[in-house]
Amino acid sequence: MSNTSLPLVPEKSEPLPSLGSKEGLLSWIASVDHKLIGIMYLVTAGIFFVIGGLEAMVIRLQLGVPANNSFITPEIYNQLFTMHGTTMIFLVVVPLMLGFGIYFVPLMIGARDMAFPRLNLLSFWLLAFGGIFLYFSFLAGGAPDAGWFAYTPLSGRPYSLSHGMDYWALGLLAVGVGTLASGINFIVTIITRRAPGMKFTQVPMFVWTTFVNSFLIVLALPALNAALVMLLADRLFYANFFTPDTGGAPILWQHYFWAFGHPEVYIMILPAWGMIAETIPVFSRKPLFGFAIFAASSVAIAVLSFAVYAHHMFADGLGHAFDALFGASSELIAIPTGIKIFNWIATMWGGRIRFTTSMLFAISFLVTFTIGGVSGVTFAVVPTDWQTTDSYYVVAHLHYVLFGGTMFAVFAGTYYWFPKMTGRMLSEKWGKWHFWTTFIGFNLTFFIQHVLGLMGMPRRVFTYPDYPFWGLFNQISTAGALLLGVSVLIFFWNIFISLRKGALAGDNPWDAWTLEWATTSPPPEKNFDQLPEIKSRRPLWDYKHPENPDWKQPQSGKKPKTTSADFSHPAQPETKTEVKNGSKNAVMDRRKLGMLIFIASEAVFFLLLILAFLYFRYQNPTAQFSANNLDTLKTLIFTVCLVASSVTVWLAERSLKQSKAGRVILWLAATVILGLVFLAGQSLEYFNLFDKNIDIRTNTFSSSFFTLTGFHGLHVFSGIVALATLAGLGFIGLFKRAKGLLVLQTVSYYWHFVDAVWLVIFTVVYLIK
Amino acid sequence: MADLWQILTTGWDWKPSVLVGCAALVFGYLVVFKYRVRGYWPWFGAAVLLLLLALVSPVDSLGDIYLFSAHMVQHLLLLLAVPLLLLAGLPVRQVRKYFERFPLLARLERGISWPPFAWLGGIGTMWAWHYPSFYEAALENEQIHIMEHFSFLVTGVIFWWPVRRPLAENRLPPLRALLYLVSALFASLVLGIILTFASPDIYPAYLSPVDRYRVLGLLRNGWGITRELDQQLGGIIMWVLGSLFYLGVILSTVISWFSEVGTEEDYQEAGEESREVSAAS
Repeated sequence: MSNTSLPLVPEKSEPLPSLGSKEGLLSWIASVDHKLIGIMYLVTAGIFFVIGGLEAMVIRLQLGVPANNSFITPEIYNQLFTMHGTTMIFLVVVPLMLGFGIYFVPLMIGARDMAFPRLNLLSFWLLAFGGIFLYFSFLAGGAPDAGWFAYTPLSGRPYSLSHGMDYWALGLLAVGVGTLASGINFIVTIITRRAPGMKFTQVPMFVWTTFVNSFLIVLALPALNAALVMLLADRLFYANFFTPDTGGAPILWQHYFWAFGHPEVYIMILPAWGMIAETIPVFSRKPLFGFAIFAASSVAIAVLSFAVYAHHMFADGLGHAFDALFGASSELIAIPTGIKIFNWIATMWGGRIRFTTSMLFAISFLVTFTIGGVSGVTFAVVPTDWQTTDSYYVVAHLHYVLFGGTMFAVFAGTYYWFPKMTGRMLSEKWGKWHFWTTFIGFNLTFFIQHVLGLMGMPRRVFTYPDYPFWGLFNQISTAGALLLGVSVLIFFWNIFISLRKGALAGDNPWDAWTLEWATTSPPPEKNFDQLPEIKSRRPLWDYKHPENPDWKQPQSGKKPKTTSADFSHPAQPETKTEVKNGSKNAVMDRRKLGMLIFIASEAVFFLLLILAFLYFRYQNPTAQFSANNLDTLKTLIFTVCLVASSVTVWLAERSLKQSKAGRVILWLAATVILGLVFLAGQSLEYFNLFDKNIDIRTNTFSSSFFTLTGFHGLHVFSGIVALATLAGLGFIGLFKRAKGLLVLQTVSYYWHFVDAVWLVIFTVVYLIK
Repeated sequence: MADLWQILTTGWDWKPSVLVGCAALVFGYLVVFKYRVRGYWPWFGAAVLLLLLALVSPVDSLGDIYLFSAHMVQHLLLLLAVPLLLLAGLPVRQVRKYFERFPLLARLERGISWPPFAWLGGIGTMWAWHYPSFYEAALENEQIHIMEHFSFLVTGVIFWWPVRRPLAENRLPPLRALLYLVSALFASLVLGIILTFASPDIYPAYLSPVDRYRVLGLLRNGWGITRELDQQLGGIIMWVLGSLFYLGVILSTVISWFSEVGTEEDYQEAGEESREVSAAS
């Protein structure tokens, strides 16, 4: 039953700003509208997808015939597979996940925009420039060439002579900071910006998986950042973190990289699961089966991912204890993942399925992702892992998960949401062509690689000897890759032609239930004029079916205390709620909440630097002699200064609560001075060590000491800048305005955090011997 | 197999302090709740059995003398599993009655369930007792050891209290409970990581244990559990099994949160809210 108040004849609303028009370009690059930023994310990811895809094409052409020494050199080959992996992971898949989230999360929760629109724009430009920076390395004497996980010491200065790895590390730092900012933005948006009446348990599954995913981003990316700054310290300042000949530990890189890298695997798939959980129900015309279990299994996978990362390191000889426990616990991941597969199948069961292109991609996702998942389970069996590691079996597995999983979900999501973003439908005819070429090309390319891997073909080697069948199987794979290339061309052609001539979409072409379909396509700048009443997970269903809304159905066996018969509240489909940006659900000020999440992320960063410090103390006690040169007493005095500055910030806050704006500035100034005194004390300590010929190059102790305290000093410095800025703004009347207190509190959270971190560092470095 | 049998049979140490303590626990439970514990006593019973298992079985003997890893199993049982089961064994109606009758008790209850206090209590105890000198002191001195285990139980109960207290309506709301649990998971995970990578001489008592049960040769040579492996194993047990335990509680929190079916009042409230908002604008 369709509703008459929704226009049946679609009318295209405000078109997207055109690049050709006056100020069209500016309205794209400077807009803080989440919809434009989301599209820019997707387009950027699309461009890098083409670049990464071309790199893969060259790789596949090189491998097309055995013993091929004439097409590209091994050096170029190394750069190509490194850049292919790095591009696809950091510049394609993650931005695609973020881009869809930035576009659709605010719409799906009935919000006006993200919680921090300008931060959102910053995230995007960090991604764009980080990516460009990474590719600039081709012009600067050689691209990164140590693989996408850049194992040390191969990625260290002695073995990677060009500046490629420096570009790699700096570029990823930029991209990573942008991703981190998006993660914080998502969490704050979802907590504080939900439409009135929308409970947390009523957000669409895509929003929930993005929410869980954002916590992964916030807590896992600092591990990468810590590893990257240590790698950079090694490469640029001759530190000793990962250099075995000076006592460093290459294995530490692997620990840190995979402590990030394993959660990253789920960062790349969680929102994709959310997309599948949106499309399959709509095209099966049934709500998602087992919403609660699905939500919980997402949490389970996210949490487990931190506990089991060491299964990427079975080939390192970590010992039986590691192998046994991490193998067993990694196999556990199959349970929540399997649950999801059954959730989707049970959703389709008995549904009236519409085989649109989107649905075809979603269904084939179930098949290919399951294959990737099953080969993943085989890696948790340690002896099997030893056989298959670093072979094409791994390549096949990861492409079944990332292409057969994430990219198929992205295609499903694109066909599903393109009408909402542009107002026009993607052509189903071209879509079917796109689907079949992708499905066949993909399986042709990668399935045979399982066999090649089991036959012993190693990955990351630019050519291979002419063993029986190796040439043939590689040719099949290359042929598949070419077909895959054609499918991408068809996809872009479909977008091109549909943007010009596609059928008009209307508000809700798929008869879907979530809030993004309650507005026009594309949505107006403010997103919604009106929202339907939200009483269940499917507000548009309730709106269209007032006689049979979801919230009258007892769900999942548990009955409400009262039966629906004596339910007195009348259904009122005509009640639409005016949109207010997060009026009812504003549990906490967005600034403070954002700062707390940022602090959590920073805490992980410092934790990892401290752990590195402790690790070298345990593993390499000979370097400890340098510690005798530390001046504990003097540092204690400066520590007292820093602690005192926490008190003065608190006094500033108190004065503001008593509305004494003048005194606030005084206390802030006192805080800044105390902070500067602390920094001066740190410099004294540094010069004291320099005098004794101890600097970051000396040994593992000094490397970790200077990196740890140096980064803390940097944080103190940025805190001082923030406080001084606040004091300056105080002169022009910030503290007379209502938001003054919130801003001051937000900055003071950060300052207290920096002080607390120092107390931990002081204890670990100076007090515990 | 015979070796395993030998350890399983000879490793029991029926310490009077433990037996008296457990008996007192059961007796107190029955008396305080006046035998009205239907539906709850199995949980409580399981808690006491697990407590016995942790304190008198070979887990204890091995952990005290030979194996750090066995000691970690014991600590996880005492800190996480036993307190959680104890809480599940409290009969809600009786507890409510006591809180109503004794306002002081209710105030104490509110006090200890202040989340930062409970969190720091639980996690702090866990971390503190693994600090080498404290750990060694507990191994050397039986009194300190008893105190350690007792403090695990007490702070364990306090730790679970905010998220699993008997009066469900006062528990932390789901999102906060998740924050509470996930942060605790991370805190124990970090401890596990530190223990895993710690050098084997961090707890010197295990380097040359007094071979009271004559199984040292079996453990070190027969089963190949060297001191290094033992240290790793203990750390990973803390790291992985500890995480899995928290994860279980996290999952049950999410599932019950998302399976909640709103009551009629909820819907009416929601309806009124949205009407108010639309009326206001």
